[in-house]
Amino acid sequence: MKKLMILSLIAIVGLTSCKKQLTEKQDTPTKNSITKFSELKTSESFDWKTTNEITFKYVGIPTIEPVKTTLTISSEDGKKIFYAGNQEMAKSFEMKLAVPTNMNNLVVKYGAVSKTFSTSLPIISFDILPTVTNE
Amino acid sequence: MKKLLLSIVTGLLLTANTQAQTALPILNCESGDRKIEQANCWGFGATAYSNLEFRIAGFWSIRTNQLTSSLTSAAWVKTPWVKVGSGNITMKARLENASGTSRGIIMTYIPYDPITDTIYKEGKGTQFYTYAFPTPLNINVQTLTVPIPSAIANSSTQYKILISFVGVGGNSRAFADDISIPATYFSDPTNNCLPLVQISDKDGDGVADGDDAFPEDKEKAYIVQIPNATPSTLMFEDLWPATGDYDFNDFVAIYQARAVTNAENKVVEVIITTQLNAVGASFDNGFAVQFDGLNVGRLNMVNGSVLGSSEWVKLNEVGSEENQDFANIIIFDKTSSVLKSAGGSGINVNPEGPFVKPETVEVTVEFNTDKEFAIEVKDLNLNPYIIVNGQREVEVHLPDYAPTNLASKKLFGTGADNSNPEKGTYYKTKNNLPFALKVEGMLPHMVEKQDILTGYPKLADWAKSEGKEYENWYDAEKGFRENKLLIYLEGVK
Repeated sequence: MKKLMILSLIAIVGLTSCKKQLTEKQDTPTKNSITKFSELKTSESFDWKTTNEITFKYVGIPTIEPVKTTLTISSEDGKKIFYAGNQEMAKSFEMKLAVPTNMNNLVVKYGAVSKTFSTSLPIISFDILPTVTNE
Repeated sequence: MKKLLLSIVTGLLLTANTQAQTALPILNCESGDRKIEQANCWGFGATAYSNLEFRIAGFWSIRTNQLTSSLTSAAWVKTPWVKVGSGNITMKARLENASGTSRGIIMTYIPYDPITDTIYKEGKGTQFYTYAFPTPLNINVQTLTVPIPSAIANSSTQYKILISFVGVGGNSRAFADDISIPATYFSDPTNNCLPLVQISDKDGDGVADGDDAFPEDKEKAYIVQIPNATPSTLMFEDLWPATGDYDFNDFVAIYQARAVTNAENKVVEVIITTQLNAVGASFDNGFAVQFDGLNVGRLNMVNGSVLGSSEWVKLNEVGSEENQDFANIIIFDKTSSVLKSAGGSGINVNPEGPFVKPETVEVTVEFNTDKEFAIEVKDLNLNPYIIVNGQREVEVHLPDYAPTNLASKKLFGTGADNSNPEKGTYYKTKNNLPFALKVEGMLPHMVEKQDILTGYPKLADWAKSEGKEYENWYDAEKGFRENKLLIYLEGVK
């Protein structure tokens, strides 16, 4: 009888504690139960960076005469300028960007040409070649 | 005085777009890709480049669609905006086969009309030449020589020349090549191919005032974020090589670095801004930044460092640290030189306070822009670190950032540290845990002695998934922060 009571008590406590965990999970839906940083373990390749590295390529196009204007790479709201430079239209250019992981898109502008790129791409290739149409 | 006036006037009149006045090249199609000509403001309608056997000269010619319309808008080639000279327009043309009743070429000049609503600002065209292919139709190459109409010859205004291909009956196409027009190129490919316009450029550096962050300083043009130093929160544990309590608040600073560049895209100066927010430590740590890969010869001067009386600080004549392979900038020698404690243990780490207003240190690093020394933004790779409690040989860096050559290598592999210089892994434990974090944005930091996972629970998911899940674990989204364990100072969000 004593054993039965103990088992029942454990079961009740267990259920209560399960219920509590479920409630907590709903409040803060975190996937794992680790609450101490020291208990984490990651592989050596994980770099802890909160930026994604993106290779940006400006693809130069031969021009009738030298043309230079401003090339900018910015956040969609234009508040973060990741690059701005006086870019020769005919000259290709490449650089690496570190884009915050919480930023979804980048806007590249060259003169009046503006294109938006997803930051999920490891390489962004920008040129001002038109989409071929018959106008 | 006369000279000064002249230079001011010259500066104001210079066009930001540095295009010279160049003769319109012959359109010979040898690029093989009409998009290249389109990018240079030529227009093509129902015409493509072709290297089929009926091409006229070289490897490529223009080939039209089947010519079954008399409309000038059916198949055409159009020049960029040009200033027309005098003499003759010449071109070669042929038909692909003899099928059809008639085939012809019509030329039209189109004036610039800034008032029209159309994107290309083209006014009403005037036809000035019509050519009919000989009948019966054949495939012989025809050479056309067309005098420039007097109405537009040597005009100071801009025109486009439209060359239309027309036809009735059958299915023959036309080929065209070597279109030569005596004219000066006057289009701006960077501005929707509109005619070139003068742009204000007060300092005459070649960057339009509208794009120039320093429109009256020809030595400077742009301000940009340095790729790995966008505004972010630096959080350090300072017991390395031992681990600490992982509240990551021993040293907390909002940090960013921006580069000022000139019109040649060379770095003129780098501005490193550090707002020291909190010190949850008994150690009085210094803060410095190494320009990885750049030697001191690239620098002209360092201004703005906050240096107390620390004996370990030894600077060279330009103000960077002595005896370093790469340029090292001491931002401040110790936190107490920047933030004064208001009493109690630590600064700005206890939720009850007292709080001290964060202080900002702005250090400007001037760079040598001489050709042999000049660098570009892509050459900048900043490596921020703390110097622990006045022990110059003890540095703590972000994970996998190398120490400077003043750091003691003997400490690697001791305590909890698992650095392996041969593999290029630094400042991580055996479980790959860091001793410092750099997180994008201006974030609240942890209350003293509270593990960072309690304040930012999604950090655990992010780390366990090795960055695949909860990439924005640090955002202020529901369930992402336990605010009662975080300290929000002015400006953080």
